[in-house]
Amino acid sequence: MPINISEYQIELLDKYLDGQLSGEEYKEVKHKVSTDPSWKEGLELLLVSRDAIRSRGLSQMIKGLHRDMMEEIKHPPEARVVSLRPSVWQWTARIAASVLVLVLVLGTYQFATVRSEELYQEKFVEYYLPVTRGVENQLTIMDSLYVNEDFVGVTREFGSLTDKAPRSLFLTAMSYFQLDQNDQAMKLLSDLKEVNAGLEKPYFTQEIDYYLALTFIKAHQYDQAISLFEEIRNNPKHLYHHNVSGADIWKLRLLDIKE
Amino acid sequence: MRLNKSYSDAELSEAIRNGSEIDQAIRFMYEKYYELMERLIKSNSGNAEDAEDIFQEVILAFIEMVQKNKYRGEASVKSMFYTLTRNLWITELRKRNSTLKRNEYFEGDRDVIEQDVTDYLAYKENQKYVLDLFEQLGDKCKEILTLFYFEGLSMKEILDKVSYQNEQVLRNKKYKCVKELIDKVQGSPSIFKDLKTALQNAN
Repeated sequence: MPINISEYQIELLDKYLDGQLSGEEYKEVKHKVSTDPSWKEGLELLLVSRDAIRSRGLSQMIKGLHRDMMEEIKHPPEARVVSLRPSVWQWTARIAASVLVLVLVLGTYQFATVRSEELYQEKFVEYYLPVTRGVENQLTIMDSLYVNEDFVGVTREFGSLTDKAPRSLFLTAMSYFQLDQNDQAMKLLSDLKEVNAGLEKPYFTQEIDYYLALTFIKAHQYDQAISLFEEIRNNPKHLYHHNVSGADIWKLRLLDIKE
Repeated sequence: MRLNKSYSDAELSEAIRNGSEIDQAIRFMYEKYYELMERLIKSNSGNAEDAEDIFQEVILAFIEMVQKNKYRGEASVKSMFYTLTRNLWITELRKRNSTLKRNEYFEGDRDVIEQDVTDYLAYKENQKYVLDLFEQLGDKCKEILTLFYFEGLSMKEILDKVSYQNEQVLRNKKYKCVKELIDKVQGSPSIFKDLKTALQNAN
């Protein structure tokens, strides 16, 4: 049987929460809340209700801004078109010269400031084992170790396996990747790429491309990272297509020259 | 893209906490983190629509956690977004695939942030029931309560927006509306019990 909470109680509790009671009234309500179950429950109900109302308001506000922001993110306004008339050739030349200077300045600046670690951090996307791909949703020991981020445990488990299936190879490679043991990560990912070449249904091919490229960046082997990034960039259907921009490839080229 | 104001992690938390620039703060979070989180969801069995839905929930939870001091800068805002996105997305995947066992992916070592996030999101899950009950109130009640508790308007300001004889009548209406909601929550004892437990864990 629910405790009946009166409107009078609600009003006092509301004012109590908002600090609108006088000293005596405040003490009285505080005492009731700590001794009388109906006042205690009334306070809990009021807290939960007020919080839900605020949350709903905030959620609606976010929904309103969401539409705006998605428009901005998905459809950024196109660059302003400058109309070219024969009488503005001089201006065109000046603009072109300015752009050239700007490109040179930017290029020099980028060359001076581009850092392998920063590029890696920008491009890093954490890999989570997809929960819907598990075999009948049963996790293997290796899956569990990986999900619990016991990467050393994964590599140890891999050593004890007699049948090194592609999934185990991939998770072990990703564990070496997480542990910054780049040589082992590269070796296993490259091995898996070779294994995949002979399979009818290859495993994790797009993940391999991306994480192998990231490993190459970590290991400062930029030419190989460039080649993989170009493959990803040139394939609009690639899972990581949107993660790789022309600017990233340009930065890798700069790093390749620089180092 | 419009050039919105930029914030450091500390400035962003402060802007959210004092509430004066919440609109700009939300815009900034979209610009800075949306594409990142979209990629995370898309590379884990989700699509663009899933990403949009989850990101709105991430923003809501992040703002509330900051306002309730559940996030005090122990981790970067980016890490918080990752943790919130991951947890919300896995919860959503579990709903879609009922055979997945709860907590399967979050057993073992969990850091403080992960624990805070999962507790808070459990509270938010329970809060959805209260929101459903709130939606059952009349439009006038919903308007008055939103203007008062969310917009933070005074009775005098609310009186300008809704047609009531005077502040006292409006005040009475407000408490009637709150009581109606409270009665509904009390009418679902199991929901209220879960909510209380979740509230205690989240605080």
